[in-house]
Amino acid sequence: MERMLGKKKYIAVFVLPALLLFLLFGIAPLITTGVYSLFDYDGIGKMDFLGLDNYIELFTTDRYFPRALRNSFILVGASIFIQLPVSLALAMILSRGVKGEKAFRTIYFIPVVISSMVIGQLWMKIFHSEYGLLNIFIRFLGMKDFEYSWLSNPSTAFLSTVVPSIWQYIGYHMLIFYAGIKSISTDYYEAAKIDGATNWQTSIKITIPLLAPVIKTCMVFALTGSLRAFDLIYVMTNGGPNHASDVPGTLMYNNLFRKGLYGYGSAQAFFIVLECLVLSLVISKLFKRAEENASAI
Amino acid sequence: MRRTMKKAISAILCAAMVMSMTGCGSKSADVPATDTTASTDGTEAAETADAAGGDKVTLNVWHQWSNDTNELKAIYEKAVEDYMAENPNVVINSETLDTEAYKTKISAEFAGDASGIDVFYYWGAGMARKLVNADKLLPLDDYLTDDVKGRILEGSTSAFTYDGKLYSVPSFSWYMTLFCNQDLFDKAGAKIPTTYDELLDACKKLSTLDGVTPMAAGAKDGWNAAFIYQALALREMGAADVNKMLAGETEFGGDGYKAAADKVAELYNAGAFGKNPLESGNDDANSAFISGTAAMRLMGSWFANQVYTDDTATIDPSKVVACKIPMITGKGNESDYCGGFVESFWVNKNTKYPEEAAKFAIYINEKMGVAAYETGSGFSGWTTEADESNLNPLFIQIKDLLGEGKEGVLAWDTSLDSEPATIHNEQAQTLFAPNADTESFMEEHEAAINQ
Repeated sequence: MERMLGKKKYIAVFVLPALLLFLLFGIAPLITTGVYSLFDYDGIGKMDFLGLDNYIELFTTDRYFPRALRNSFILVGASIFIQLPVSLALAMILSRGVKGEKAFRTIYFIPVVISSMVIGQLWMKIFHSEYGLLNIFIRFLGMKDFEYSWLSNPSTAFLSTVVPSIWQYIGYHMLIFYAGIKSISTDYYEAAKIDGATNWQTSIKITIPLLAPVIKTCMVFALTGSLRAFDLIYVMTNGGPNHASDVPGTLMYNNLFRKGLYGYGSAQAFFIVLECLVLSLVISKLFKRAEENASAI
Repeated sequence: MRRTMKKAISAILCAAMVMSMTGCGSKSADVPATDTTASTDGTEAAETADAAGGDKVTLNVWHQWSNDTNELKAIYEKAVEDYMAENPNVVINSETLDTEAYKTKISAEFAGDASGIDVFYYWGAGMARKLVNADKLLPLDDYLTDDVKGRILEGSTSAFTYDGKLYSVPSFSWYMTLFCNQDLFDKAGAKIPTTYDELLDACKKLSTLDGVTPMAAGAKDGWNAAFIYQALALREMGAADVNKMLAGETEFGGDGYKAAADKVAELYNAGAFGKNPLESGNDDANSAFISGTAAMRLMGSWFANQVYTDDTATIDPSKVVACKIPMITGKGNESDYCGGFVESFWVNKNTKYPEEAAKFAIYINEKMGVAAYETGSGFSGWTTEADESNLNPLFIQIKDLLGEGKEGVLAWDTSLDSEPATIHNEQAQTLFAPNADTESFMEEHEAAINQ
C-alpha cells in the first residue's frame, strides 16, 4: 500500500513540471485564442462579442480562405504521397548497409538542420527568372516556353513553394524510419532468408508491417506540419501574388499582425488547431488495425 | 543490487530535473536583466533617489532605431544624454526593437495599459488613430508653450491632430521623389520626364538598353508597388481630393483612380518595370538603382542619403537628378506632392509623470527633426536654425522641390486604417503582372476603403 502511494507521489512529482509548463504555454494560450476568436477585436480597443460569426465568415464571405485551405490540402497530399514514400525508400536502402551509410544519413539530414529562412532564400535563388538555376537549365535545353518567373507567376507560385517544403523534411522522416527499421529484430530477416524470401518480399512483408506505428507517427507529423505550414511560404512568396500561394498560416499572420484583425485571425488560428487534431485522430483510427498487428508479433 | 541501482538512477534523475529547473529559473530571470541592464540600473537609481527624499523621475522611452549603424540612433542617444544633463532629475531608459517587431510590441503593450512605456515612437494619421480611439494617448495641448508653438512649421501637424486635439508634435518629414540616373538617360537618348507621356516614352527608350530596367519598382514589397500607384493617383486626382478620400470624407472610386491604375498597367506593359517586378523588393530595387542597372526609382527623400553613402553604390551620385512626380497633362496641381510628417514621439496616457513625459516628447521631436535635416534624412518640422553644411547636393535638390510644394498626401498605408491599408498594398501589387485586372483592383479598393 505504502509503496503504491509512494509511487504515485513520485509520478506526480515527475509529471508536475512538464504538466505545468504544458498548461501554461500550451493550453492557456489555446484557450485565450479560442476566446478571442468569438470577438470582433483589433488588439487594443474594446471587444464586441460575435459568437461564431468569425467562423461563418471564414467559409462564406472570405474569398481567400477556401483557396488557402485547398493549398494546404495539396501540401498534405504532396507530403503524404511523395515525401513519406521517398523517405521510406531512402531509409530502407540505407538500412540495408549501403557503402557510406553514415555519410548519406548526414547529407539527407542537412536540410532539416538549416533554418527555413535560409532554405527559402536558397530556393528563391533557384526559382529566380533571370539568374535562377532552374531557368538557366531550361534555357540550356532550349525550351524557351517553360521559362517562368516561378514565384511571381500565380499559376506556379504555390507549387514552387511545395517543392522545397517537401524536400526540406525528407531527411527528418528518413531518420525516423531508419531508426524504426534498425529496431526490428534481425531474426525475422534471417528466418525469411532461410525460407528463400527475396529482398523485395522481406521489405513488403516484414519491414513495412512492423513499421506501422512509426509510419503512423510520421504521417501525423507530415499532416500537421503541412496544415500549419508558414515559414517557407512566408519567406518565399508571403502568400502572393494576389493570394495565389496563401495557406491558412500566412492568412492568419497577415490578419493578426498586418490588418489588426485579432478576433478574425484568432478564429483562423483556432481552426488550424482543430483541423490538425481531428485529422490526427482520423489517422490514428486508420492505423489502429495495422498497429495491433505489428505489436502482436 | 537492482534496488540500489534504481534508487541511484532516480536520485540522478531528480538531481538532473532540479538542476534543469534552476537552470530555467535563473535563465528567465537573466534575460530581462541583460536586455535592460541600463533600465534596471536606472530604476534602482531612481528608487534610491526616491528613498533619499529626492524627486527623480524615470521615463521609459521606446523607439525603432535598433541598428547601431543607423545615424538617427546615434543622434537620438546624444539628444537623450544632453537632456539628462540639462534635467538632472530625469532618468531616460531607452528600449528599442526592429520596425516590424516594434509595431507588434507596441500593439501588444497597448492591449493592456503599457505601464512600461511613457514616451514612444509611432506613426500618426491612420496608425495612431486606433490608439486615440481607445483613449491611450495623452494630448499635448496643455504642455505646449507659445514659444514652442512658434517654432513649429506651419501645416505640419495634421497627422497628429485628432478631434481638434494635438497628440504629438512633428519631427521630420519625407518627400516622394523620382530619382533619375542622367548617365543612363543620355545613353538611351531619353529625356528626364516631367509629364506622364514623357515618362512612358523614356521607359520605352530605356528598355532598349541591355541589362537596364527603366524603373526599379521593388513591387515584391507592397508599399513600393503602392508608391507608384499613389504617385499617379495624386496627379490624376490632385492632393485635395486624395486627402478627402483618405480622411473618409469622400468615397474611393471614379475615373481618376481607375485611370491611375490603368497607367501603372500601361507602364508595366511598356516594359517600364522589367519583366518580373514582383520578384524584387525594396532593397533589391534600391541596389539596382545605385548599381546602375535601373535608370529610375520612385522613392522617399530618405533614399538620397543612400545614393551618397552606400559602399556598394557604383553610379556617380552627382549624375542623379531628383524630380517631381511627372504631371498628367491637364490634371492636378504641380504644387501637390506625396510625403509629409507622420513619424514622431507620443505620450502614453497612463504615464505616471505626464508633465515630464510630455516635456521630453516635445524636446526629442524637435531635436530629431532638426538632426534628421542636418544629416539629410528628412525635413525638419521646426523653424529652429539648422546646420546645412553637411547636406549632399541630391538632398538639396529635393529640398528645393519641397520648397515648391503646397499640399502633401501621406503614404496611403499610414493614412488608412490597417485593414484597408494592407488591402491597398496587396492590390497595388496586382498591377505589376501581365493582364492586370484594374476592374477588380477598383472593386477591392471600394470594398475596403468605403466600408
